[in-house]
Amino acid sequence: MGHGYYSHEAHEAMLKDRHDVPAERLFKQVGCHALMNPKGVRARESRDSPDHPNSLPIVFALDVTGSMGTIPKQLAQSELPNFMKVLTDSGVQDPQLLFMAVGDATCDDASLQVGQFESTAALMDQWLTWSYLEGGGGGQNKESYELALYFLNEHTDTDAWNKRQKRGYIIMTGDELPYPAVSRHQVEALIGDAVDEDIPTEAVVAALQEKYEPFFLIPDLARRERCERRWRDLLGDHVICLESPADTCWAAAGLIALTENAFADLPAFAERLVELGVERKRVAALTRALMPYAASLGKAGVAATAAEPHDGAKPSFWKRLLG
Amino acid sequence: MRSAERDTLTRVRLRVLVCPRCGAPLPKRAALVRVVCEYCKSEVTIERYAVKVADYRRTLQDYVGAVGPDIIAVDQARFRLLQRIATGHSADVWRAERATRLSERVIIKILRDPADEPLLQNEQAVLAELANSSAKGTDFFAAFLPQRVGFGVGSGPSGAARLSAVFREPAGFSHTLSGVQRVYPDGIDARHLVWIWRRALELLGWLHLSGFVHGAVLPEHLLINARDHALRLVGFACAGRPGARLAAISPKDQALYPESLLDGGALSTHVDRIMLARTLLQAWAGNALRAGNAIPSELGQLLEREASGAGKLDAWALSEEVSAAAKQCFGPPKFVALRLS
Repeated sequence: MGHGYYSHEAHEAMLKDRHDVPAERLFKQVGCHALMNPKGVRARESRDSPDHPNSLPIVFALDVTGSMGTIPKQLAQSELPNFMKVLTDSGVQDPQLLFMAVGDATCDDASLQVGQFESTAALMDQWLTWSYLEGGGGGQNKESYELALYFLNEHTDTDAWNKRQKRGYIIMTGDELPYPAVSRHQVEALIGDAVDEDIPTEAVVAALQEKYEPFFLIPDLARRERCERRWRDLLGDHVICLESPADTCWAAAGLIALTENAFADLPAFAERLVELGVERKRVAALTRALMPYAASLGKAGVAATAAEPHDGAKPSFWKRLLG
Repeated sequence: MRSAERDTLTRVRLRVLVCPRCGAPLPKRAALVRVVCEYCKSEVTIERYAVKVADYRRTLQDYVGAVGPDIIAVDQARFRLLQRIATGHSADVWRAERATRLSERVIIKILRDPADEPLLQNEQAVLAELANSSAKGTDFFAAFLPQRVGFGVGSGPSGAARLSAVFREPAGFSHTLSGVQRVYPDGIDARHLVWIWRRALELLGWLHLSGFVHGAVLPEHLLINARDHALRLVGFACAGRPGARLAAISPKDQALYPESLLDGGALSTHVDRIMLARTLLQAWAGNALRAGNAIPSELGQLLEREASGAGKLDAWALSEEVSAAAKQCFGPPKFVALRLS
C-alpha cells in the first residue's frame, strides 16, 4: 500500500463542504468494516515506491470510545489536511498514514479496527471514515490500547525500518489507562495469533519502540490526572497533555516535524503555525503542550533548569522546629 | 512446569523459522509476509502466527536494565543522574532522566539526613491531596505544582540507600527567583514583579481554597518561566492545614517569615501572602536600594502593606488589587521580556 500522490488542494476540496455535515453522515459504519477487521491479518505494509522512495509510516490510533469520539470527527471534517500540510511543507518526505480505531476489548464489539498505510488524500479519508465510532468503553478507566500497540509491533512491516532502520510514528489518542497486559485470549479471538502467555504492556512498549516512536495524546487537562502518570511510566516525555482536543492534528504534526528536524526548535514551529493562520491562543496552548517533548530533544528554545551555585559548606536548608 | 509442557497446554506450537525446502534460517519477517529463501530461492509463507512471550520478556529486560555508577533505582524505575543542581546538608537535588530510550526528564531529591524524612513524606502526602483537590480550577493549577514520579528508598550513586523523591522536570522553568536575583543583583524591574506576584497569588488562591498553606514561599521555591511569564510553586515539605504548626524554617531566609510564625504561631493563609510580599520586596531591592530603580508608589505601598502583615484581602482579591495598582503605575498590561541570559 502507499501508492499515489498526496494533494493538499484535493484534500481541502474534499472536506470543504463537511464542516456542517453531522458526524453520523460521515461515519456510516454500524459495525467493524470487513476490511478493517484485524482477524487473520498477517501484516499491514508501508512500502517504498518510485513515487515515494522514502516512505515514512505514521499511525493514527484513535480512541473511539464515548468520551473520545470527537477527535476522529474533527479529523474527517477539517483537521487532517492541516496535519499533512505542515508535514509536506516542512520537508517531511513521503508520509504514509494508517488509521486504527481502539476500543475496549472486554465489552466492545469492534475494539480494534485497522486500515492500511496510504499516501493519497482519498484513501486516507476512506479508512478514516470507514472506522466504526462505536462509542463504547467500560467504566473501569481502561481501554485496550495495549492491544493496538501489540498489533503494530507484530503485524506491520515497513520499508522505513527494513531498509533504513528508520522508526515510524504512532499517534495514539486516549484518556484512560491501558490494561496491564495483552490478553492472549483477546489476541487469539480478535487477531488470530497464538500467544503462549499474556504479555505485560511494558514488554510490548519495549519491543515496539525499536521500530516506532510512540506518542500518547491526552485531549485536555481535566483528563490528565486519571491516566498521565501510568502513560509516562510507559512512554516518558512521549506523553503529550493537550489543552483542547481540537489541537490534536497540529500537535501530531509538531511532534513528527520536530523529531524529523523539519524545524530548528519549538518557537520555529510556533511561528509556522501563526503563518498558517492558527489563533495565537491555540499556538500558545500547543507550545505549552509540546514543550516537555521539545525539551527532551533539546529544541525547547529555552535553557534547561539552571544549577544553583554550590558552595560546598552550605548549612542545612531546613532548621527543624518540631519533632 | 517446563516450557514445552506449557506450550502444549496452551496449544501454541513454537517453531524456528526455517525454509521448509532447504532448512535454511528465515528472517523474522517470514512470519508476516511471503519471503524468498536466500539459499534455495523458494518463496515461503508461514501458515500460522505464533508469538513467544519469553522474547518479549527478554526485550523488556534489556530495555529497562540499565546499570552504571550514575544509575539510581527509585520505586521500581531506574534513572540516570545527569547533573547536581542544588545541594544542602540534608539533601542533594539532581537533574536526571529515566534510563530507557523513551525517557522522561526528572528532578530527584536524594535525602542525606534521615532526620528530614518526615518533611519529604509530608511533601508527598500534601501533593497527593492537592492533585485530587475539589477546589475550582484544579485542572489548571495542579499542573503548576511538582508532578510526582516516584518516591521511595533509592540506591544512590554511592550505593547507600536513601529516601528519594522523583518529580518531573518542569520544562521551560529554568530559574528559581533566587536565580533571577543572581542575574539582576541590583534588583528586578518592578514590571516583572507584577506578573510574578499575580501568578503566585493566583496559585496560592487555589492552594488556600484547597485547604492548604504552603508555609515556605521563599525565593528558592518560586520557579520562573521567563518566556511565557509563568510561575510554579515547589518545596511543599512544610505545607500543612491552617492551624497546624510549621515543621521547619530556612535559617538563611528567616527575615522573610512572619514574626508570629517564628514565635510558634499557627499556619494561616495570611502567612503565605506575607512571605510572598517580603520575598518580592527583597527581589526588587536587590543588594542595595537604588534610586534609579524606585518602585512606583502605589505598587510599593501595596507590597509594604502586605509585607508588614496589614493586608486583609484573600489571594484572589489581592491579585485584582495588584492588577489595578500596576495599571496605575505602568498603564495597560503589555508583555515586557525578562532576559535571563
